[in-house]
Amino acid sequence: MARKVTKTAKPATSAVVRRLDVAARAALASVGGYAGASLAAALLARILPGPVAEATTAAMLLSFAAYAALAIWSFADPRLLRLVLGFGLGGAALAGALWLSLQVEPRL
Amino acid sequence: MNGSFRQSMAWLHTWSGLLVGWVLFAMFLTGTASYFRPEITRWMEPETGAPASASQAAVGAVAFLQRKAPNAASWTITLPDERQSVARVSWRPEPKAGEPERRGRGGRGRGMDATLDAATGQPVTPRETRGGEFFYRFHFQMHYVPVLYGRWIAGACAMFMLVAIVSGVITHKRIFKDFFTFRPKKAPQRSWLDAHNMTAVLALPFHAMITYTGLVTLMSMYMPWPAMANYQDNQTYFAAAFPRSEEVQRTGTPAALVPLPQVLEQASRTWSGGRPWIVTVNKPGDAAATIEVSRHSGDKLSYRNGSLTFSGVTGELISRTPEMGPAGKTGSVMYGLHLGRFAEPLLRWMYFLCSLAGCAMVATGLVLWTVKRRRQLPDPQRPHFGFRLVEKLNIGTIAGVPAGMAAMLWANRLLPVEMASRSQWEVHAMFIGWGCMIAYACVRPAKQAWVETLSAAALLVGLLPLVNAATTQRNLVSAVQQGDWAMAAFDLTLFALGGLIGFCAWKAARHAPQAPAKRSRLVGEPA
Amino acid sequence: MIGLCVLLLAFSGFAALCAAMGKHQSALLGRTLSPRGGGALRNGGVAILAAAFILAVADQGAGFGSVYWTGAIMLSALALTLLIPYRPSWARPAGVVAAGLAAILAGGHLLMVWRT
Repeated sequence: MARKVTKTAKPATSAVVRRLDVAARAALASVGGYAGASLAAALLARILPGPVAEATTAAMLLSFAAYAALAIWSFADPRLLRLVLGFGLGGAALAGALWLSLQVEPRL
Repeated sequence: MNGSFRQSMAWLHTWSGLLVGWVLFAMFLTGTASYFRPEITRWMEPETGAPASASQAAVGAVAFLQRKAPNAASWTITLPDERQSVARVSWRPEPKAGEPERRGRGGRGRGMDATLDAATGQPVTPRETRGGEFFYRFHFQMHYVPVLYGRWIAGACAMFMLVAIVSGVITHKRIFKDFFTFRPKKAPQRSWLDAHNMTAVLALPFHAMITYTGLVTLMSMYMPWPAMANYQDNQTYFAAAFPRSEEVQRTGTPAALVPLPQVLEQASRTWSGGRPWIVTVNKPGDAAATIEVSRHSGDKLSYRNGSLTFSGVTGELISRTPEMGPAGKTGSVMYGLHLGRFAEPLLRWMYFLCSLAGCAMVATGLVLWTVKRRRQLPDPQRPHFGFRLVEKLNIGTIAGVPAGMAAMLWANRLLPVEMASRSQWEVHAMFIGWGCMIAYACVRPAKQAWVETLSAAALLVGLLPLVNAATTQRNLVSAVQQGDWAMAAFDLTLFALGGLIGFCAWKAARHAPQAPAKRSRLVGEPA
Repeated sequence: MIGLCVLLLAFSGFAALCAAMGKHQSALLGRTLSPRGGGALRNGGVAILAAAFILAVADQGAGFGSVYWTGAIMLSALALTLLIPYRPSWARPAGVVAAGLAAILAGGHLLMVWRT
């Protein structure tokens, strides 16, 4: 829900709506963030050049930064809809790319 | 969300910190203690002697193992360094016909292990204790829960901490302007915020490093998906990333084992002065025997420093583990930075102090939450449940965890040596102590609870050197006389920490509760 | 010895940086500096911290040296920040003495190295 940031009047959102908003963001940050970071890391491990073991390790090392970034985004973005779409579509895209990659070259 | 980007980050910082703050405090404090893990173990095993050299220990260990397990499939010897006075050995029996060989570190914990005095090679039987190992294990796998769950809890808390760090930095608008700002004499909310900012920002490199590297050390558990995407399972990834030497097949021809010190010396030369750490002898007494010597994890920033494999009969170098690639090295350095095994004494103390600053950061953050909310309470005499919960947990944990850790050391000295499961009861003592503090905080009014629990913690910590002197041959004076600086410093540190906690108790006693919120709001709040 | 030197330099570097800040000047120096004076002090502080880094790396190698220097700057910043609210007038002499001691230690170490 788009909300203009005004310092004068508090928006007339009820406590329930606020709670739902926080709950949704918390879910996105914790679960969505883990899923997103895992998918991104898995995909990265497959597309990074060099020895496979090295690419795997590098992807694991970077994954936590990705997780933290997604968690921050979940609370920074004022638009919940954008977050839901971002996580949903982004996750689907990552999963799709990962699946394609696994078809092209199976696991060792 | 809540308004501006900074405001939403402030909200996120508060909640990501608060929800896990008490567990984080316990993790931080036990982690801080873990920088002196071998010293704590030595203190808790007063029956062991002084540290001795690795090659001396090796001779004794081999002699012991030749007596005890001459036909074992493998022996494992963890050599002491300058901080330990014992060598720990274990052995793996030959598998029965038809059973596959089991790799791994041998019979530790299954009755096929022993602790040997480093100088003489004779088995020592110190009192049964987990030693410093307990604080180390607790801080990443908790206790009373299955190890896997404990690690997940620790990992979740670490992620919360990482988010708290990032959101904290984003929300701290005046991070450079307020860099040297600490105003202890201002209104409580301002002073506690300053203290929190100071301990957080000035040691930020440490906090960020320790949190991220902590996650990395268990990353194959927390984030196995890259491995699962490239390999059939985690094990295949490990075999690829950390190749192990070939399994040795017995030839059946007996042959004498080459003396270990010679092999250790050659290893050290090959490593340009590096130190050996764990020695694995495969098929001792056979013509095909090999001796695998791993390099001490404290020789470099990197934790995994490879191993050399020598023939067990001729002592010549057969193979060495391949160099890791850049990603592998990075991971190993991160592991090394977290554990700090490379740190020589001055740097180790710096690690310890920065880690204590981390504990202070968590504690001041938790207290700040109550200080800030107290002024907003509609009825200060009857705070709502959430406030009371946070306040009690704050008191019970900030005073309780140090008190509990000290209680474990008291139990180490006071529990009878022959008592069954005494090591488990030492650990119970820590949680009984911590639990009592929480319970006490629940029945006393806040200010008295702070003063009394902090005083109790101060006494429990500060009196330990006296308990030590009263129950063992060891004490501060004898340690200095024998040149055992580690044990002398241990007692002095306990005095200092007891004094520090006592100082906090004194400040709490002197604290005059603020005027009720209504009046202060009229007067106006400092920015 | 060089380790102690790095620690002392870190402290004096931060003391200079702190004194260069407007809000701390009257507490530390007893007066306010001109913008140029403040700027010079800030540059001096940065230079001292850089010197500490170079010294640490020269003494212990790139890896150990950077870790040690980072530890030194964190702890000396904490020490200074704890000193200021209780004894602000000590901060300037402490910074100067720290720099002086560091110079003596470094000089002494160099002499010993050149002798051997």
